[in-house]
Amino acid sequence: MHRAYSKVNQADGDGEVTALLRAWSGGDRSVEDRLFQLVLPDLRRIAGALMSKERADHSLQPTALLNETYFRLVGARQNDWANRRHFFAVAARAMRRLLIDHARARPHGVKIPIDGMEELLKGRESQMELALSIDGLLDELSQTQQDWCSVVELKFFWGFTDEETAAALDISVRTTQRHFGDARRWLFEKLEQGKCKANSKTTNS
Amino acid sequence: MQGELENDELVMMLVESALSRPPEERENFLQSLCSGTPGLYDEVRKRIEWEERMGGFLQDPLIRRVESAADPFEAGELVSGRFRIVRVVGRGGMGVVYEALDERLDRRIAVKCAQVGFQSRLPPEARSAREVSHYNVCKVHELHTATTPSGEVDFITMEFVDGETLSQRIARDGPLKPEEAREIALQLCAGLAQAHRQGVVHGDLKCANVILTKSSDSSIRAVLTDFGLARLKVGDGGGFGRSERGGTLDYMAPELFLGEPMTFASDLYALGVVFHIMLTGKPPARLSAPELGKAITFAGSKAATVTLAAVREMDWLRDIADLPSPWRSIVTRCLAADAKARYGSTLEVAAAISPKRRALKWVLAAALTLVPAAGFNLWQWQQHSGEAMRLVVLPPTVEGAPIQAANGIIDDVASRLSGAHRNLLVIPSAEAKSNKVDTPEKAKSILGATHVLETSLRSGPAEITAYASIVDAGSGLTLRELKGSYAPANLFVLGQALTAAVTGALRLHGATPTDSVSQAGYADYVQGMTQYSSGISQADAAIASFNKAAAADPQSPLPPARIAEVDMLKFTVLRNREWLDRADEAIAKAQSINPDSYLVLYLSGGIKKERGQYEQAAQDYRRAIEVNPLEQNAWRNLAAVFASMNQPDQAIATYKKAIEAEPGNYAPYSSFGGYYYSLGQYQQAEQMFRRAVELAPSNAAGLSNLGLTLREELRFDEAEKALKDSLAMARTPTTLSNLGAIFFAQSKFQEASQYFEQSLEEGAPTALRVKNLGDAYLRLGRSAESTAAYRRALLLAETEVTQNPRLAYSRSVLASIAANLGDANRAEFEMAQALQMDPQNVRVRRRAVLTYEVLKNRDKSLQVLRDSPKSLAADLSHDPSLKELQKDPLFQEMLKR
Repeated sequence: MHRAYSKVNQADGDGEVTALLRAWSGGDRSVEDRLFQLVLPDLRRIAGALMSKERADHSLQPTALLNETYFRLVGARQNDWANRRHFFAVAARAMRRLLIDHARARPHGVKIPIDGMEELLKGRESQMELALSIDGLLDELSQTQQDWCSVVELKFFWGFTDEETAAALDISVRTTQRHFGDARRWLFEKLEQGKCKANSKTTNS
Repeated sequence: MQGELENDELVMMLVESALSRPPEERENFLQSLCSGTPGLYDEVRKRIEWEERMGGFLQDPLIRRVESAADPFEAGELVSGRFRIVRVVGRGGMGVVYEALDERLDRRIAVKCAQVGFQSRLPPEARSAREVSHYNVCKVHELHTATTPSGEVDFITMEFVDGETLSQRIARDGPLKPEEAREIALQLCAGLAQAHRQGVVHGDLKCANVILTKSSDSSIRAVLTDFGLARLKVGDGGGFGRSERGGTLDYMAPELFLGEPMTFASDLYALGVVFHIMLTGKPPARLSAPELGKAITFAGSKAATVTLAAVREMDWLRDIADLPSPWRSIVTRCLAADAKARYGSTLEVAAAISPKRRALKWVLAAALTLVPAAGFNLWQWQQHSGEAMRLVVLPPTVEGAPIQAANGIIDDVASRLSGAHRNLLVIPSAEAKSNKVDTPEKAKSILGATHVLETSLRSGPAEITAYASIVDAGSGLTLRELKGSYAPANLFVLGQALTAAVTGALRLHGATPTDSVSQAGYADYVQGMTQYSSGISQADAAIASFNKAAAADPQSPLPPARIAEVDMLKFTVLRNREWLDRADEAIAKAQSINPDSYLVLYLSGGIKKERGQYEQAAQDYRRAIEVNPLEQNAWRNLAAVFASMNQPDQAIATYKKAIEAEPGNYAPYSSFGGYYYSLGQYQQAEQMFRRAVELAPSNAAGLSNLGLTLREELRFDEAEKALKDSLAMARTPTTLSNLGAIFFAQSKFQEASQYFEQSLEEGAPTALRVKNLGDAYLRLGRSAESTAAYRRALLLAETEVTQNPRLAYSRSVLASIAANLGDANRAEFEMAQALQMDPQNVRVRRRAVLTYEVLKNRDKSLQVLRDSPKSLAADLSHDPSLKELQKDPLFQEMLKR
């Protein structure tokens, strides 16, 4: 079976990811960077495999791939849902960073090379603008509503379906939908306020 | 958290449903659903306003997934080395449906896949759906798992039904004509009734799940799909859906809005909505705003404690004014807010739809493969004996090489039947032939037949296969069939079998050929009986002897019937389904010799009863009683069938008949006692068991049952003595388990666990015995062993429920094990089913209280107690696992009452 991400960085060790996830879920956000370092190489491969239409196995599902990454990195038991949920939250965040870095680098900056990334973002300029404009707000949102933030990351940045998001975060589909509605509303209001401020500044000057 | 989940479920479903309507209709829609509930209305309204304002904000993801990523298989792909995918035929909630070719069996099938990603085992409903086999139900063949590049994919193979859905048809052509609607409605009832009989709830009945196709004679055929799959669409790891109850808003019964699980009654509600849509083209509008606020507290988390008591009829009224008048009362009753006020079963719905009472009986009979409906009073089932009957015997058709004896056999049947009953006139095949009568229709119109015997024979290389049917000329329906294979030398047996098939179908008295074993087979037969009576250890030897007897006397139905009896004994002891299937095979052989024999009828009833086909079983027992009213076995088992069908009056009357038939026999007392025990009437049960012990002092089972009853009466010392006496006579797993239960009830968990262990060493494990052991381990603090026992018990319980989906007690045990294992959703679902299947059964109710206590759902345990006989509360006031409940002031009040 062909797998685009079959190279595994064994040096990461199972124990470290587990310990970091535990610290992260305990509220220690300072471990995020280290977690990202561990998770990112796999996410890049996943993103590459996901988006490349030429690949034979184009029926890959991001949830399934992430799931496998999780089991491989964390060496988790099947039922370790709490841990898994945190892993997905972190992975979602990492993916967001990946995409945002890529978008920021446009048009002149240095790009992190990712298989298929160009293909993936082709013709998505307006969505990339939007992504950049909500990126900072999402950091703010995650302070109070981590779940809302994860739902936006999975659904908007990863393109997950409601069902996939629900499964990844171990919440119900309807709760996913409510979170997404609430989060969009929060972001929408913030953006509108921002626009008003910007507008009022213009008229005043 | 539970409250929040339920809340999200309702709110977001309303939001989604409102947004799917055109903007100008949204307000009315909301008003009609929830204006009486300010909290709910405001919440949903606010969300819709925001959605309208935000438009598609963030809905289009940054990364667009490649479209085909959603499909697990591709056209042309060979899946699992066997199924060639042809094309995608539909996409639904749970995934993709393909047309495919099963290359092994060379047949066209449909393949339905769950979503890729988070696969888990299919829920038990899906597994039991596989058991449902009916003309109006899409047959599920098998459940498979395929390995694909993206992981394992569960899929279901099923019958490929080529047609359009009912909703597509209505969208295209508008409402159906009343005759067509009635025809489709009756077919849906027939399919649904069969599923319900097998314990399968549909859960998402709607027009989109009905496929209309043509049958071979180009009449319409309505096929129900997606049985038991409603919750499969949830792709999470739990296997059981979290709070999503599949189901579509328009079809949802009030209790589902309140968080109750899906039941047969909620299927009937949805059925009423389907009828309305068929006839008017739209779902019935909601007239008033249900006061959901009473039931669901928005800020708080009270939703989990809502009970059906909160449903008020007037809150849930729906507008059915557009319905043609004959349908109004039917749909009204289907749509009753209180589930108890709906029809008692799908068959009652069918009865109400059928235009004429008389015709109805046959429609039902057809739906049931010729069995009276569950809700009907079987005693009043019409007998033909009073009416004049004209039976036309049609000339036999022969395929293959000519069979010389064919006409002679048929004439023999006609002459045996002539004069068998004063109301029966037999018109022989010669007369039919001379009038050119060769079909039941012609027999009716030309010869005035009320009944017709049709026979077709096919000569094979070694055997002649016969197929005969007795047709009711008025309705055109088949009353009884006979299938059998006969060696050419034994073809005369067919004459006897055909005669018996007619006497059985026409329910003639005293006309059945009597059974005996000829001299050639007699010695082996008697030896088989001796071996059989010495129990399971000699069972195989007994089967061998009966086989010899059968070979020596192929004319007697007794040897194959006895083989079925031994197979059933093996099944009872080993609980291995294979033996039930073997019993079926043996009884089919016996039926091909004499289908109207007492022993054959009695045993065939027993096999059907074991499979939960209670109506069919009752029919066999009733005919057995007509053939021989002086034997208690058929009476006693008929009573048990009534008990299983929730007809307590009939059951008690029939147990009394069994005692009357053989007053000196302990068995009816013993069974009757068992029934009283299940009703929680322990004094009566004790009386019956004592009488059984008197009549058969050496019968260990009698003492064991007595002991169990005494335990319920909290007479532990007497109970222990009775059980130990019983144990001294026969060391059976049941008695050992009962002894364990006595020690458990006295909080002597060490002794209890030892007896439970011994009971498992002594015989095949049952779910209850293994669970009991788990309970004892739990009390002893041996939690790992306890969990292991529960897991094992769960598997056993699932098997038991699959074998007979209508065993309410087994299902309640399944629920309680799920609760022990922490699967609250599963536990609640199964328990609701069990309670609905057998509401009178105190053992089920007791199990329900124990289960709800494990789930910490005090409201529900109290609710169950309130609806139960007082004795249950008294009984539970000593249970060592219910210390918390016993402290509850509400419970103590109940005890005082």
